[in-house]
Amino acid sequence: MSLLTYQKPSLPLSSVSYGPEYIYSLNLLSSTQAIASLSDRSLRIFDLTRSRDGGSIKETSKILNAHVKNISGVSVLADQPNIVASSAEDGIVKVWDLRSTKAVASMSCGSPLLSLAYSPLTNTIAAGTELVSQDAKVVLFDVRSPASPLRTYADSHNDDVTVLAFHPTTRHSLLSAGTDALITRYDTSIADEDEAVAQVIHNGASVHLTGFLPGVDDAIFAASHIETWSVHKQTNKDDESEDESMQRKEYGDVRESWGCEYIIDVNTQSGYVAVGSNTTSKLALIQLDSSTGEVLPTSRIECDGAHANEVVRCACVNETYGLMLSGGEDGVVKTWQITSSDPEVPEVDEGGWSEKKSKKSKKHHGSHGSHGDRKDKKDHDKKKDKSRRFKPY
Amino acid sequence: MSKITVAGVRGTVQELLDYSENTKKRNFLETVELQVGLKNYDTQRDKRFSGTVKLPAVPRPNMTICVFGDAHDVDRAKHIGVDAMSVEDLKKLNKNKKLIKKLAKKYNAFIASEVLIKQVPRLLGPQLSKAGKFPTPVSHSDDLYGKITEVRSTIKFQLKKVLCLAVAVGNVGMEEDQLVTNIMIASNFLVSLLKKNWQNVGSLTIKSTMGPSYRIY
Repeated sequence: MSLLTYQKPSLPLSSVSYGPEYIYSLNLLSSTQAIASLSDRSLRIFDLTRSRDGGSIKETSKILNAHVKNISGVSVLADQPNIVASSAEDGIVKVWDLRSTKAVASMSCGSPLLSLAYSPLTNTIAAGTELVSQDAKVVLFDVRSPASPLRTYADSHNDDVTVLAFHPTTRHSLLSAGTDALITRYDTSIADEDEAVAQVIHNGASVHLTGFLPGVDDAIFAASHIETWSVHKQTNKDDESEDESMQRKEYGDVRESWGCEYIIDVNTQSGYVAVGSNTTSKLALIQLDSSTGEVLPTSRIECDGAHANEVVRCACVNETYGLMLSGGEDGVVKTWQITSSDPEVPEVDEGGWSEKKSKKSKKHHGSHGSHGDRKDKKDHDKKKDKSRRFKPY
Repeated sequence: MSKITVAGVRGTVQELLDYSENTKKRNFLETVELQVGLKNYDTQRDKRFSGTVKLPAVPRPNMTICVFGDAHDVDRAKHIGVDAMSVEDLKKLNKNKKLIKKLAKKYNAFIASEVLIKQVPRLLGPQLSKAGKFPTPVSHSDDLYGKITEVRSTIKFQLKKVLCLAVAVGNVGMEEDQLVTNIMIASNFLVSLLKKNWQNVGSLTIKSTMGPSYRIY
């Protein structure tokens, strides 16, 4: 679904506040559930089913004191329902079963962890460490045998490993990047680090986010901590041809051209970049062409007053409900309706909601969408939850 | 809105240069450092802060650079008097860890032709990454001399677990104007990356390696 078909969001649908804590991350578990990690070292699970009718999200369960230090990463094990992994600065990766809210596996890496990634193709968890003495490591575990690490690559970075990303469809292809401005691509089927490193990219600036662009030649994008954007071509280290074609495209500092102050997140699957601005208290989704890495700053959805003047730390989109979730340093998790005006609303296959679903799709077929929509929701809310205050526009 | 003015910084720079040149002249070229003290910043919870900034005047003129080039770039490097190595030279190292380490130690930074950079992991293994000296790419359309200057004038900054960070913005051998411009650019750029901009800045000071520190904000 293209972002272009989304409408401009109204005021936030709902918000849940956790006071002075920060919201570090938000991930969708399924179309009906999301998980957040907080600075109080807890994980919170939310039910989203009511938000499809404009209702509020509800915390259904929580894991308090999931770690003894800051949680640095949460990764949903997409192929296994109700299983998530979390990493923290205590140096431990924990795998949680959300039904029992108990840790089913715990893997120690020895150094504080800053990044986490999971590949359902090989059931592998990758964790990246902080620089401790001389080593900033990338450690891989097989989820099915968590007793000892599968691989440890210790020589490819000389500073904190801030981000890890597996290729979504190619097995054993992993990217790691860090404060040393290097992006390394590994073939994780090889244990010897000298051989496993397939490509190294000097990004010029400390890397905040990186990943594969699922386009024709699987280029690699990188967003830096100084808010620059670049796209790099994948290359082969055994290729001795002197190919003169462009291997990287640098966009420089994008804060002005994208109309933002910082990049929050990049999603190549849905094709957007989430950006924020403190001075204008805005959160925006900008369309990303996932095949080329081109960003179209004019094609955007803006949320005003997103998290006051605090930094927005995370945003994710539930395409099924046309819903965006955001979390920030004000400790609030907010939901936003970014309803698609496309009549082909994606079908939900969970049973028991057929009635609601037909209602919803009817709404979307309505000609002058948004206003009627909101009114409908308002009525709905009153019936459903009288205590909930709904601010009129 | 910048909270420091060129005139104010100029006055402090004059004092600093005067001290290093007249009061206590040292036997080496002192570096001038910009130190930033942050406030209202929680290093535990707030986002980590690191990056690079390119300055208009080269702060480290003595930085040694080596170019890994194809025939064209080796020629260009020789022409401007910079050390260069060809693929054959790199192959001669034979992936010998000791030799690669020695090479990494010999130079402050490396630049490689874009067509060669993909082979660097194959030729040299992870040693250069480990040393923090993986080459910066240069293409044939880039001006090699400009690229070298860019590498020499790019400085790295990083906030670790304490509320202060320091960056080298120049040296006492530089012109007053150049130093002032470097300080202005570096501080304004750093502040623009802070979440509350100037509200996060507790203090800004400049200091030469052996001299006293001077507060500019």
